Amino acid sequence: MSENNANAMHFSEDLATDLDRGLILEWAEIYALDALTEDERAAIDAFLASGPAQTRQLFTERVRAAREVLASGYAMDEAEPPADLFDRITASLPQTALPATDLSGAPEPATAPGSPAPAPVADLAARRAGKARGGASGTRRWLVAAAAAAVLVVGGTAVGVTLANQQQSPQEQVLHASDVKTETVSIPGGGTATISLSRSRDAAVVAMKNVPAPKAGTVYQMWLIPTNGQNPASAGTMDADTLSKPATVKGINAATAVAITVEPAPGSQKPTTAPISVVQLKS
Amino acid sequence: MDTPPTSELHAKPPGPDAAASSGDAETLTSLLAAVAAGDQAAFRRFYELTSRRVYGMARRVLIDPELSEDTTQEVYLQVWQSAARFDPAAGSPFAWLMTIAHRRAVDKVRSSQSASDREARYGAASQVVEHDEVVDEVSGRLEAEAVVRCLDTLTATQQESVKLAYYGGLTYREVAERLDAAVPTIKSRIRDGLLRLKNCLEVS
Repeated sequence: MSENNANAMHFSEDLATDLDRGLILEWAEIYALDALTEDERAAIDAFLASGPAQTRQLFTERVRAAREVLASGYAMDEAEPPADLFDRITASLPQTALPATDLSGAPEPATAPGSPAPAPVADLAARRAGKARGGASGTRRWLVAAAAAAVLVVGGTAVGVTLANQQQSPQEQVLHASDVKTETVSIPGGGTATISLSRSRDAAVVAMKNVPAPKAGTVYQMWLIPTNGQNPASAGTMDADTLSKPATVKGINAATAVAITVEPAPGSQKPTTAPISVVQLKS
Repeated sequence: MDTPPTSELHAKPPGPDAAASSGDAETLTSLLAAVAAGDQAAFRRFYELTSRRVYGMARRVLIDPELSEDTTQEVYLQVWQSAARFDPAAGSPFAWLMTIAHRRAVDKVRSSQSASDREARYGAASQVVEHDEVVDEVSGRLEAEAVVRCLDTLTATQQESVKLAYYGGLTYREVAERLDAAVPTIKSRIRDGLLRLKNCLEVS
């Protein structure tokens, strides 16, 4: 093997120069190997997102192949984990649902692994508190009435580019973003909602798990709470059919929280009930 | 939800050959689908089938048992939370899992180790995994024999660079520093080594 293969494209010292020289695809293996810094990973993601779809496709394919190779050729060590590790894992699941799932629905504050305990924004006494009111203070009271709440620390610096990767769905773009942050909140009545949010994508993915279908004639509706104090803006609905599919919510950089309410089908112009859950976004 | 039969997995670890011919990838894929629906029995089965590899990789990268346990725990929590995002069309379930696991392990090793620890790791990572160890580890597995044969097609310097990155958690730049080699050379070795392995394993 010669390292001076005449056909090989020649790398430079740094990523920026390589990108200038059109060597983006040659980085796929380094990317798949995690042999780069987080900044470099983000730079590659941004570069791909702003370029042609074909390049993204080729890059994704090369990364995929390299990951298969690494899993086969390098992840072959085996070691027996401690016998109690699985129990520790299940004990720390956002919601530990035993096979006989308890659907009585006692709300419990959600804690995601590695995240700080949720701030005390939930006020169960106010759970059934009134309708949405206009204005910032009314919205705050409405948010506090949430039956379940969590705080998602998402970092203050958006990359500032709207990344449109045509190869990946908008959902995948969020979930694969280098700055994706995830929080899970228990839904009263059973199940969890997991929100995965990326500032650089200006979007979030909301995935409901084990959540009972809304009662006939109602839907779950997601809301973005604008930073400018405006009224909550609808971010889409989920009914019995779409509940199992993650939903993408765009425009989160202008929001302080994502809330979920139960609304009469097919959804409301503005929330008419107290939120069943709120995920506050903290920079 | 019923747990699909999984008895073959220990005998036939997922790999390119296995993925093409066996039910292993199918088993893990259907388990992930059940996990996505909140099936804890499927989650347990998935853990039983894969945790030795995840924990084994974590131990290789992190060495410290506690850090490795933490990492393994994080990996399976992520599996629980993101199983719905696994797309069988975008790769094998084992590669999906190990991608999550390696990223976590590398994050942990980079964030938890001081510079001096790091220096010690360079030495450890550069020595790990000689081929005979691999053969011992996986002997008797046809797929693994193919892997070992294909690993042998890499040059010694390609192997060294990929291992330092994979097991040492080093960036290409750190690999270059460690080996006192030029940065473009190391990037080429990583790329060429993995492409060569891919061609040998006929990963499509």
